[in-house]
Amino acid sequence: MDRRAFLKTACSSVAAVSALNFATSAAPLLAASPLDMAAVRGGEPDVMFDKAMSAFGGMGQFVRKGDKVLIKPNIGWDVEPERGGDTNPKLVGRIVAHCLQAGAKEVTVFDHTCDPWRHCYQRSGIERAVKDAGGKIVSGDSEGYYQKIAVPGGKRLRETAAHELFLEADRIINVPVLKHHGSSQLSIGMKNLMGAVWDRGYWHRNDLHQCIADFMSFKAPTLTVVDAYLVMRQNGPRGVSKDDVALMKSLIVARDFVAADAAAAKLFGVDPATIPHIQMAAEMGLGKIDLTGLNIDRIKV
Amino acid sequence: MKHLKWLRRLVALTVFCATALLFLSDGLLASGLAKILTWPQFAPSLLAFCNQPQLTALAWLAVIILTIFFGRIYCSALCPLGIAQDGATRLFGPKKRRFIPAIPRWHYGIMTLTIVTFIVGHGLILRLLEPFSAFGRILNQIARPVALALRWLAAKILEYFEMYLIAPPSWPPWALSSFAIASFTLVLVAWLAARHGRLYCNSICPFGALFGICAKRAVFAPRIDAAICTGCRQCEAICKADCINARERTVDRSRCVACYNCLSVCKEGALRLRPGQTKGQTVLSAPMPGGKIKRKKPSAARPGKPETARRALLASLGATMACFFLSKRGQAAPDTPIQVPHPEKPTTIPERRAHPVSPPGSIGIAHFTDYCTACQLCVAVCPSRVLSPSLFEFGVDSMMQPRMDFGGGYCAFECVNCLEVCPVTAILPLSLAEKKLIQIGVARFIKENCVVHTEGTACGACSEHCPTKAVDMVAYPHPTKSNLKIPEIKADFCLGCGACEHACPTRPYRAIVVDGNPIHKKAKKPDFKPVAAPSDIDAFPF
Repeated sequence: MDRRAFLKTACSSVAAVSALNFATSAAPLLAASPLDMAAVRGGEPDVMFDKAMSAFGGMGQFVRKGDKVLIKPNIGWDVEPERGGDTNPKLVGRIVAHCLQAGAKEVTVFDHTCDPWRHCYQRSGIERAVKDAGGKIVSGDSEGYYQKIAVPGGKRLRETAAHELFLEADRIINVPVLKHHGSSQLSIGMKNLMGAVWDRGYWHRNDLHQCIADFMSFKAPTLTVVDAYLVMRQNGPRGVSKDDVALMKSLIVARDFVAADAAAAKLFGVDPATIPHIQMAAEMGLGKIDLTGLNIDRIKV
Repeated sequence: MKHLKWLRRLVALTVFCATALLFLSDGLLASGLAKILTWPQFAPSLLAFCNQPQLTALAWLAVIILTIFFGRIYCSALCPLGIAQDGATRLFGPKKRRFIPAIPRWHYGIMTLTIVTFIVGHGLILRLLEPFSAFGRILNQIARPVALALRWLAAKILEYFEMYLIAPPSWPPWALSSFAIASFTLVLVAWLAARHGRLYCNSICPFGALFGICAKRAVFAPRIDAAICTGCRQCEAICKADCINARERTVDRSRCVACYNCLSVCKEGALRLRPGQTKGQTVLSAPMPGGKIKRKKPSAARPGKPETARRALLASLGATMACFFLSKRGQAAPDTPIQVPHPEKPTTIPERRAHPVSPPGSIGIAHFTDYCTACQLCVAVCPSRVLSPSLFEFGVDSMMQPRMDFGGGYCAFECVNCLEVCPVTAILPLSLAEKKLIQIGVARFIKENCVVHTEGTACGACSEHCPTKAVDMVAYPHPTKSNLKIPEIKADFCLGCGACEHACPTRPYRAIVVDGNPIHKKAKKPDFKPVAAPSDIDAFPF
């Protein structure tokens, strides 16, 4: 790629991103509900999501008729749902159902897994849940699906290759599971989108926390749904046994991905400012780490 | 009788397609299909029996008995390389074939060489010539890349229409020596088959020689009824083993692969499977038109002294068995570690693996390289692409035998595919629970290469992937950065699965590397305290 071509791509992707950001942020501004975040405790994952959606005024606030929706759960590990290593399958299934009900043209789900992808999709229960709800589950293990992109807002991550479904989606719903993480301290929303790129080794070599924050400047998810039903509190992100997880029966749904991560960190018992990538994202102006000004609906089931 | 050909074709086609499916389906159909398909394969079954003498591994004996009574049905209906040759003969072979005298000295020579070299501990010739393994390598090295390319094409076409039903495959690592040998085998066997029918089976395959000896006096094998034969020689023209001498009205039963084509082609019904004369291929011939009745001795038509060769074979076979059982007794148990020169703690940057890593269930490098025939079925069914044919890592003699290549992937904690499929039990069929405690190697940390040390930035990719947290993250005091953690290895809990090495991002040398255990050990089960249940289940901390 010569310099001119590079500049062209860079400019057009900046334009595309800002247009998209405008489109995605304009919808909530025009909507009636001024709610920023719904935090739910004490229920089953699918029930808690239903409550959160009613608080926001329905999935129609985020997904319009004919939209292509990508749901990006964490399916990184070949472990059962009880191990808390992957996003809860009931929650993923329910989100697919809500999107389709809101008129989405198609709902796709993938993750660039760490363990063999077929095993992960199957044992996590997510493949079954997605298919049952009418969504499409797609491989994230194929390099052919990843396309080179420039990350103009990145400090360390200037370019990477992201999954085409991530690039083409009209709406992205990021559905991380809250867990302890040996590398990034906590794995929540921003860390989960690391599973949308091909070469994660580059991130690890080049200031992991900064790269996590940098990638979020490329394309923000419409909604972040943090699954904190079963929370891995030690030995993350894979976990060793069921002894690593605690039942916390919580769910956080937020428009602002930095705020979602900050709230989830607090739920975990950690000051979000001590997690470098959350702090960095806030400093880059990508979202709010301070939850005080936000309109939060706290719901107990 | 005339329909036996069709029965043979049906069985052969089923075996061929199922074998191809086994190697080309990415392990989706692996465990059940592999057990059924590889069970009657002669050499794998014999090796498995030598490894663990038990009734279920007696298929090789069944094949021998079958051959003694019914001729080389195995070569026609069960050996995938034999079946493949029939395909090549059919496509490219001459329309009209003719009888060729046998070359027993050459063939028995190869057989003896194979057996002797194997007994003295060099199995390379056996691995090169054994038909199931040779065919497995052709499937894995040549057919599989073609299948993957087709799947890639199909996936890309579907992707264009926004359909994601088929995932574009990821490519297995390139294995040069195995590819070269598989290509050479393919070209040689296909050329021989096209030009000379079953010449590979009757002049190169060591097991073909063995079966030839067993089948020489087969009771239910094709022969010519001289009283009926009109001398039209159609049987000779169709015989893919070139073993029917219609002029002499003899069928060389040691080379006949029991395809039964001759039974179908003979309009007179002069060819039958009937028990009768037992003296080799001696027959009482009716006179050819204008000829004279005469009694022929086999030695006149066929040079060589097969009787001597057979004795040599029986002796070597006996010796092989004896060697195996004796060597088994002397072998160290898997739990007993042997003395290996411990590698120096490297202070330089290159990884320098102390020993290559053999797959879990293979007891150790010696057991694995002794038994593995390099059919590469385990490579074909490995979902994480960690098993890869070796070049010279295990030694020149062991090339093509698979090793754990952590550049390509890592051994998935929940997977036992290779343990389930190995036809020679070079990899034992252990349970998942047993496999989760096998230590095939131990991770070694090279701090000087680690990004946490060199860059002062957070990493931990190794610890993330570790299924037992044998690689844990501990506090690392850094002159300028705070809150950093660096890997620490608890060797007792390490399985050597290579997840850490695979995930380690530093290049060209990784900061964590797995040294193989020459003899596998048992790892300790991870023992962590359960986390405390949270008390504030209803509170919102924000």
